[in-house]
Amino acid sequence: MPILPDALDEARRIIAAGAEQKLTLRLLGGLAIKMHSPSANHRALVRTYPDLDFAFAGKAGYKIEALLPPLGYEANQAFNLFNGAHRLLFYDTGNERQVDVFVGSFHMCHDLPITERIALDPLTLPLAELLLTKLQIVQMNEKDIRDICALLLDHPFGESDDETINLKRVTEVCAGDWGLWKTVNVSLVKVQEFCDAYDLDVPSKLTIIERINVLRLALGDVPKTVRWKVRAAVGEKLQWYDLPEEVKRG
Amino acid sequence: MSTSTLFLRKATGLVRSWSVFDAFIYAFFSINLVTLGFYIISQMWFLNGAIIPMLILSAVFILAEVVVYAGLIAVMPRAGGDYVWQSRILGGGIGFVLAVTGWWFILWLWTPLYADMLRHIFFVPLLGILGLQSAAIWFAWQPNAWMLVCVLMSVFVTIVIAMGMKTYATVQKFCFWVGNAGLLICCLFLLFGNNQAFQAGLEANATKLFGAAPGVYAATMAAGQAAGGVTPLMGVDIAAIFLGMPYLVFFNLWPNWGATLYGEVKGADDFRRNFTGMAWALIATTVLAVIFFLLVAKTIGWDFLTNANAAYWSYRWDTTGKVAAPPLDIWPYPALLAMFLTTNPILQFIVVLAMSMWFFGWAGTIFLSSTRVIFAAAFDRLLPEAVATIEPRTRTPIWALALMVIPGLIVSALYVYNVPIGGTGFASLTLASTLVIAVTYLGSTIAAILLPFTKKDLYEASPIAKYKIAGIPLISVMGTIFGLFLVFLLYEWIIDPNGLYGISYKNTASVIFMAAMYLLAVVIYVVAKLVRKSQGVDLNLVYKEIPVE
Repeated sequence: MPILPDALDEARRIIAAGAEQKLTLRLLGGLAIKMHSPSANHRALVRTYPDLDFAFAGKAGYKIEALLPPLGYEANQAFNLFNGAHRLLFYDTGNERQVDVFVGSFHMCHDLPITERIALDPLTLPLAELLLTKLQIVQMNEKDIRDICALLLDHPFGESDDETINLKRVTEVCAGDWGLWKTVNVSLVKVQEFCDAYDLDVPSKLTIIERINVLRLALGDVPKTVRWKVRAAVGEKLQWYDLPEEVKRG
Repeated sequence: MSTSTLFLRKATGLVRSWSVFDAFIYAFFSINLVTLGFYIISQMWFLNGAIIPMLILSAVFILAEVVVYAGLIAVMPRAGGDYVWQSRILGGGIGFVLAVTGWWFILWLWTPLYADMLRHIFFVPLLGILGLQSAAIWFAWQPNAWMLVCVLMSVFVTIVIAMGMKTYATVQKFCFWVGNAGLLICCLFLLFGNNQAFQAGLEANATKLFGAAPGVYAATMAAGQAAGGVTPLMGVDIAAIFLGMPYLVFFNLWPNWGATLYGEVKGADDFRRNFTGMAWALIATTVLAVIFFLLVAKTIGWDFLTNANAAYWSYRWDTTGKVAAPPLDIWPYPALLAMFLTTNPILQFIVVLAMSMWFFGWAGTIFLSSTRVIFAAAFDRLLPEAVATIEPRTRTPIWALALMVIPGLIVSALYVYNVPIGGTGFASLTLASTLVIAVTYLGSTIAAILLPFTKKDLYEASPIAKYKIAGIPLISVMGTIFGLFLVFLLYEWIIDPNGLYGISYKNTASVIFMAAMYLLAVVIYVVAKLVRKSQGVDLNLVYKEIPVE
């Protein structure tokens, strides 16, 4: 079957093809948020989706390298050769999209344990992890803000993962890593500032702001680990994040 | 109104495997004081050039090299380094031949040299300290032991590289801190010790651990003087200092050794970062070397070290059978000599083991940089595609490593057993290991000089375009300085009017070995072009494109 033009349909096809080979792949990024958040289609939050990002639970990235080319994808061989232990990159030249696969771990501005609970949702990472993958970004772009707004607008914080953002999970992960905690707090302020400019109705904006406040309060209250406290003592004197770089195609 | 800013990021980015600090450590280890430095300076016992001014003056020229390479990396931060730059600026044929000879073939010759250093700073001293005197002496002198070390080292390097860049960086970092801690302890012993204590320690330890005859200090001094050990530590004879450099650069010409890896280093398109990492490695190494040798002079005595080196190498290089065995029956490893200031075997063992981390953190440099050149040539389809593949489960670049390790072991056998070629022994080729790479560097240096003029668009769009001296691009000015330095080195090695380096055109083995390598590279290039042409691939078009990341 050729690659499907609709990105969501294509993501489902890839996940299903992986499942047939017992490979647990889950969507993350903007498309994953779109799957859960109807508000992503709101005119104020709508965006394009040039790439499909997946998390792969295993360490055997070579199995993904074997899975995707028969589905119609062209591997970036040089990139995969050098980075394949943690990341894989494929192209869908027909639809001008790319597929990114995080293999066994997620290391961007911060490390996130995204594969521990990967199977909770049949198609995407759990909402808590989805939110964290966005909030850990130091150099946010417009799309990131829109994704976070859509996710917060449609999902309350709660104790479970069923169309709810698991507050305990978000705060627990942040409580172990001061750098992540710091970036998430900065990102929340940023989202609050920018969402005000979007063409959303007032109740929607208030909902987003209220949920941002819920999370900020919880981040402040959560008991911190020793590692968090030690790193906090050093503070901003030492850079607390990595900056991912663009990958040029040639 | 928002006070925050948003960024323009097109797609999901990538955090590259190595930090700038990892690249610094790689550069620092590539000009490794304890392995390359101690080893080659020990072979310079017959030269009249003073070591400390030579270290400083050569570092000034090599700083120009750092500017050239930091600039080239910033313009094209691609895996493959010299191969990519030369093939895109000078042309495919020149780029391929110079890159594969300098980054691939000649590394085969480095295999026995690395192994020689390993046995002398790891096996021999540690076995001696453990009381295994005969095993220590076996490793010190027997070709079979040396060959065994070649094999063990190749296995170790293969494993370290197969573990991937992140793990490599972790191993390297561990070795960096432990190795430097070991060096600090050696320096403290030298600082607080004195020559009398050293003479007593040498007498006690050398006789006990390595079976030296009593009176080893005086006997070593006499043997060294008889052999002609003269190298001074300080001095102002500029001509003699320059004539020592073709030897010394075996040690410090390589702060750019990570150049082929910069596709995997964070922020590699930042000229200042690249420059800082390599320049600090060069400066730190030079300062460390100066401090260490001054401390050696203070406590061990520079004359003693020079004479011990003279006694050792004059015996080892002797082909007449007339030179007597050195009184100290092992390579005079300065760190071990420093630890002779104590007779506590546990302390000696710990410090010498810590000092061996200088080897283990550096060992991977023999093949790691080379694999990237092989990959880049394979991506350009000058080598079979299979060469740029990995064993999927372990992610080991088995083909690239096989192309390094197997010929490396063959060349090791030729070197270790000193097989004669054209009447000269293979073991005389030590400095050929440096010459061939210097030729490759000269190619990249010429490419760097020409870059602003022949690839104007690429240069103007790069972060180095703003750096100029009197209106002339900085990379061209520094390229000219470093290029002239390389031409001087090549003249001395190849013509060798004073008969100092042993690899001139008069050495048949040297000529045959190097000619064979260049011929092999040309043959591979011509065959690849013909094969690809028959497949409808025009390699000339490949060289018009900058490789993908």
